[in-house]
Amino acid sequence: MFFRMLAKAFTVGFKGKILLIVTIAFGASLATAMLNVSLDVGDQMNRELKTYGANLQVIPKMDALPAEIDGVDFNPLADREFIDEQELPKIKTIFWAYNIVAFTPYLEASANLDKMNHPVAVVGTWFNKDLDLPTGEQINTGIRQLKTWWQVEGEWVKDDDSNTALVGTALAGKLGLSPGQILEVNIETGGVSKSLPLKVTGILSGGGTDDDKIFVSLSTLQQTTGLAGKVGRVEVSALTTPENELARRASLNPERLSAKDYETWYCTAYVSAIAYQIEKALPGSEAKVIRQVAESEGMILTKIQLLMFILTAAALISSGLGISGLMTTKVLERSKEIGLMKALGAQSSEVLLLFVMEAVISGIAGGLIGYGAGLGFAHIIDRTVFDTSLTFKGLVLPLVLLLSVLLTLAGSFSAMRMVIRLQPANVMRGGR
Amino acid sequence: MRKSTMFIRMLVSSFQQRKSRMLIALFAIIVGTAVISGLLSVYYDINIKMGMEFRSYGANLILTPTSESGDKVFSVSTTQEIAGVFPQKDVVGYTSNLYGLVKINSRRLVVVGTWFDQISKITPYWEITGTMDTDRNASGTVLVGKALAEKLGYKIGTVLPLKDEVSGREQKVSVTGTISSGGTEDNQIFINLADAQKLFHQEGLANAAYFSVTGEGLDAAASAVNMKHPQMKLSPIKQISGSEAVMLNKISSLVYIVVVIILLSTLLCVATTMMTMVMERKQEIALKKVLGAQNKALSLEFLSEAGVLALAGTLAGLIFGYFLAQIIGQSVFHSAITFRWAVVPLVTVTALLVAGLASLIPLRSVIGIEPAVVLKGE
Repeated sequence: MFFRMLAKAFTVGFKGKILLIVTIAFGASLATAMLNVSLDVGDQMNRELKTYGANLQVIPKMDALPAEIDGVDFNPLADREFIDEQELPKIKTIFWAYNIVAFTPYLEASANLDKMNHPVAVVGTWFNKDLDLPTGEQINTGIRQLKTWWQVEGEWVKDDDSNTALVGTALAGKLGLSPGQILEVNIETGGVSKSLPLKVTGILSGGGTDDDKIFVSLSTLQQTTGLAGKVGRVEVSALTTPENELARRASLNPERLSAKDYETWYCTAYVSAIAYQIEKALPGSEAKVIRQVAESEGMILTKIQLLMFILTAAALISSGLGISGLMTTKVLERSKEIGLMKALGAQSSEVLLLFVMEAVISGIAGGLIGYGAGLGFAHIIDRTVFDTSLTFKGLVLPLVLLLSVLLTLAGSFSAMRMVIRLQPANVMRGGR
Repeated sequence: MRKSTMFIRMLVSSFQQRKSRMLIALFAIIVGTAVISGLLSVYYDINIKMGMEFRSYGANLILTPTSESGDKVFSVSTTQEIAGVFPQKDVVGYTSNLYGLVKINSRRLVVVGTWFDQISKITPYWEITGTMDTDRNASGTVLVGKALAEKLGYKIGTVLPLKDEVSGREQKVSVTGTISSGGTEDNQIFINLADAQKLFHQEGLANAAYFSVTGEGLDAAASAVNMKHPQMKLSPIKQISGSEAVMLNKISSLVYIVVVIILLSTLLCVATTMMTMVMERKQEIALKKVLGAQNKALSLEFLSEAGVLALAGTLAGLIFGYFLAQIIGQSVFHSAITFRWAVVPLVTVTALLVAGLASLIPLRSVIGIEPAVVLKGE
């Protein structure tokens, strides 16, 4: 009998249920979309924030103190240390290898130009290098991936080119250079000056000290300076988790952490943990956190996550109240029916059970439909804002179903109390 | 005349007799308008607020003498003048730097003269241990880069004899703190600008100035400055300003689309609640028709009810919306969100439209029926 009544409620009374299920579905779709997006927003924004460039810098541990102004080292005679170029692929073999977005080495030298009264920085680097990893994979990395804000008028330098250069726009302006012209620079290495003719392929506008520098392929500068296979420093861009108290303690001295803390720290993508792992992978190196990027990134990420969290909460509350309100109206509307059932001898508990079951079924049905629609919304958001497709999250479906059932029940709660107190005679005679 | 009194009496009694149902509808509208007005206010403010947060990346403009002028230095007063070009509230901070080389025990080091009071604004990401004297007239104290301090064994309290390479002038300074940035600053010594000017014999001069400015149109402002001061070049630091523009765009489009989806769902929730309310009054409508009510009069009655509900709900909703915006502003950005008056008419019209449509649509289907069919029971 109970099941027959329950079935009737959804077959005969189906029309009345449509609106209810539709409302629950709207609420659930909102919850699905917001949960999907805000669970992901940290990762997505993190990737976007990579436009700020490197957040780690790897330098030789025993390096002399450079006296650098605008990229020109005024201590050229100091004993410089170097990192081996062939060690660099190891950066992509650390525990958090997949979080390393890009890296590029630099070898810097200062050069004298005929028309200039002060030395100019010449930088050798990878522009867009195909790199073979020890794991057998091949990746593509270099300064183009790292400094996405660079604009080049003309052609980029290719990594296997020799004697081609990108010239910073400020320097090119001083020298009256344009792409295609030849530039003669005298590079100082160990007290001797070596002449290097360079063909300018492009004019670089980087908006900063880069505009006063000359960029050549790494191999070109290595040959000229006689530093084959050596690089001065490496910049690394990595996806990281915002620092917390544990990360700050670890950055002082990781060895002093308790074993459990150490493991948590090591297995979380904190920038300090990644720096530590790079230092272990490249012996004799020191990985420093570029605080301008790393610190600010953490701030911005925390803000965005908090904002999305609050918007999600607002969305959940708003849809929850919508569902509850409708549920109450629905139960109130049926006071006559309840009166009749009670008059025919139904116990309050039996009537309640019927209503609870109806609410649960509506909640699940609405929740399922809403989940589908919500995935669509989330997909639209990911597509338009982040240009990525939606990643499926198993957690959201049960959460949304639970939420919609709970909200439907909560919504009928106040109405249900009324069901218990209802006097059949009162309702049946036409009052309330 | 009697007709309108009757109309008002019906309207009033409709609210009195069906208190609980009306309260639910009112509640739905309040929640809906509160969410809409609150989120819209947040959306309008998001670029300003996030722009402020992005200043944690530090300076986004750099001022140097042009390469054509041949000078490497310029007068510090120019910095002040150019800072005045931007609206005062948009300028987070600015500083003038003077660079020079000194010798300490025959070791060459870079000394940067700067304004210590601006460090927390221009380079807020520095980790500073120890103290610094933020008085611009103070003299004889320096901050040293962390790498330099570690390699040369400098500690807080160490006295350094700075000797200018060119002029041979010497000044004894004491280290009050160390700074760490992870960049070239770790190898430098920071000194008060006035001290640096004396040491390098460059009174009133600087090599570069850094500005941290929020708001849009930095490129336009920069080219205006460059027109006015042909000797100077003010240029956006692309790494910071370019990336910031990209990020702000992403964030505001994210918030925009999220707000739109929340608005749609909220409106639909309000609409369905209103629709249910009208549907359940089938019998009442049939009875009124039997008693001779015109379809037009019925529509008018239901619309007026919806209008009263919508207006009352909007009024309360706007107040709650204001608080919602403030809660979001305080918890995320630690600052108040400006309440936009443009939101008021927008929200009112939306609420009226949604409530009106939501009662008219079900009324349409009910109005067409034969009263007898409804009144005889099921």
